[in-house]
Amino acid sequence: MTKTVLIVDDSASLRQLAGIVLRRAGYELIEAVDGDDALIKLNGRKVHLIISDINMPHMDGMTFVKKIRQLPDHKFAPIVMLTAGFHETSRQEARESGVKAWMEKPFDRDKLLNIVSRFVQA
Amino acid sequence: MMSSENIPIAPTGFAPWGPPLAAGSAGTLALLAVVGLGASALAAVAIAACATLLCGWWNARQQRNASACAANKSEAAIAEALRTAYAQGGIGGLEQVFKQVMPLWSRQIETARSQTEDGIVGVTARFAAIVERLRASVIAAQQAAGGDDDSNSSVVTMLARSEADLVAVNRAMGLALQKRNEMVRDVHNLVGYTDDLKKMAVQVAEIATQTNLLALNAAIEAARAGETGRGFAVVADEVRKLSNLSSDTGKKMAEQVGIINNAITGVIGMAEKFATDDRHIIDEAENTIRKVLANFESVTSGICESSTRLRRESDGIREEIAETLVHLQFQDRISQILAHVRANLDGLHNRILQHLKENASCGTAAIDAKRWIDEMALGYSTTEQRLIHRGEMPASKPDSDEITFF
Repeated sequence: MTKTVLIVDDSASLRQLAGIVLRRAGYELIEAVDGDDALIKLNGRKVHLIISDINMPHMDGMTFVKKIRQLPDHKFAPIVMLTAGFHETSRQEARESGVKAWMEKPFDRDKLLNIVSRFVQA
Repeated sequence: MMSSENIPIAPTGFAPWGPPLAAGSAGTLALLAVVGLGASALAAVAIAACATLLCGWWNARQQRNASACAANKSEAAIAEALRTAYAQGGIGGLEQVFKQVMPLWSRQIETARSQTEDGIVGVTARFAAIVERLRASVIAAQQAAGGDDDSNSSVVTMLARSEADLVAVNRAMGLALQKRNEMVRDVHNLVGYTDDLKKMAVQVAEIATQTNLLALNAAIEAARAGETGRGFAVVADEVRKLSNLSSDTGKKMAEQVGIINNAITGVIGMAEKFATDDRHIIDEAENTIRKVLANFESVTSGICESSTRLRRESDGIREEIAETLVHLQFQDRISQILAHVRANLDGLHNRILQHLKENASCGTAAIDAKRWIDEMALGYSTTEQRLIHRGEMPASKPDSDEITFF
């Protein structure tokens, strides 16, 4: 069964790059531009891993994490935060919210596949 | 978090919030120049830098007009004097300029940001398509050359199969030659039988001669017996005739056996000649097959080497493209920086509008520079912004090695 990864990032190029890497590795990808969009696109769909940016319009990454943890279907979905590198407060907050890993941009193919395969195999 | 106490305040020429913005814009310009961004983005950030410098100039003028003795005061006192000067007005037409120009700067920054993003998305898609096409070409070349897979259509497999088929044909020809040689040997054995037949014909002739002699003696004895031997003389004459007939038959047998023997010898000679010719033909065919297969093998080996080189080069190109795609992520960081600058510009614009409104109604308004800077710093999302804020130069390539598992 194909495993599904949700990527939430307002950067189209970053979503595209992650899509190229993950789809080629055999994952199915759902793309969302921010937390609001992610919650709409999830809508009952099961995802095996969530990768989310922090700084996003409308609903930022940490708010999205807190919201999704309130949803029974996604209460325990592994979440990886993706960030440009300056979020000491958010890092602590993310850990307390059950985020499993923290990855700084930019990422390369091996780095992304390494972190994704830690939580889900294609 | 950065506070205004850490921010150096220029003695002349810059407002308290001037240096960070100037440094930020200059740093952004430098960053964009390093990554080779388009001219539109550079222009937008240049505008932002100009805005900062303009603000600096404006506040410097305020500073000079506000107090000549401020130079001897402490930095905090200077900042306070600047805030007071700002609150007391004297802006001239600059508010109107800022009021109109700041939304333009903001939109131009956003245009540069969005165009960069669209461009990067397009470039990434093209690179991804190139990688896909490259991979498809390499797979096709590998299948044709029989590099890694067991495809029946591969050149290597076809060559091996052709070699096996041609060797089998040659072996079958050799087997046929061997069978014919066996047949020739059998025919050769017939020569022995014809020799026996020749001896037997000689024996028949000898028996006929003896019988003829016996019949002659019988005729002599019958003549000597007179009238009583007359019947016996007739018998003896018949026996003589039969012996003559047997003698003729023996001679004919010898002649026929000689003819057969000659025919067999001729056939054997021809068969041996054919066998020799066939042996030469088979040997030549085998040599030709070996040469053709060797040529094919040489060509195939070249194709396989080309395929291997193609795959190696393709892997290299794909790695290069992958690395390029990684570098293209600079756009995401720049987008965040530009978005922040734009948001700050929008905020400042709103503040100026508010200032103008308040100035019109009650004649006083002031921007709390420390608070403004602190709030601006809160919005930073990249390490570069923080470094620039501190007056440091960020690295041209951000450190990207960090992964933390909780």
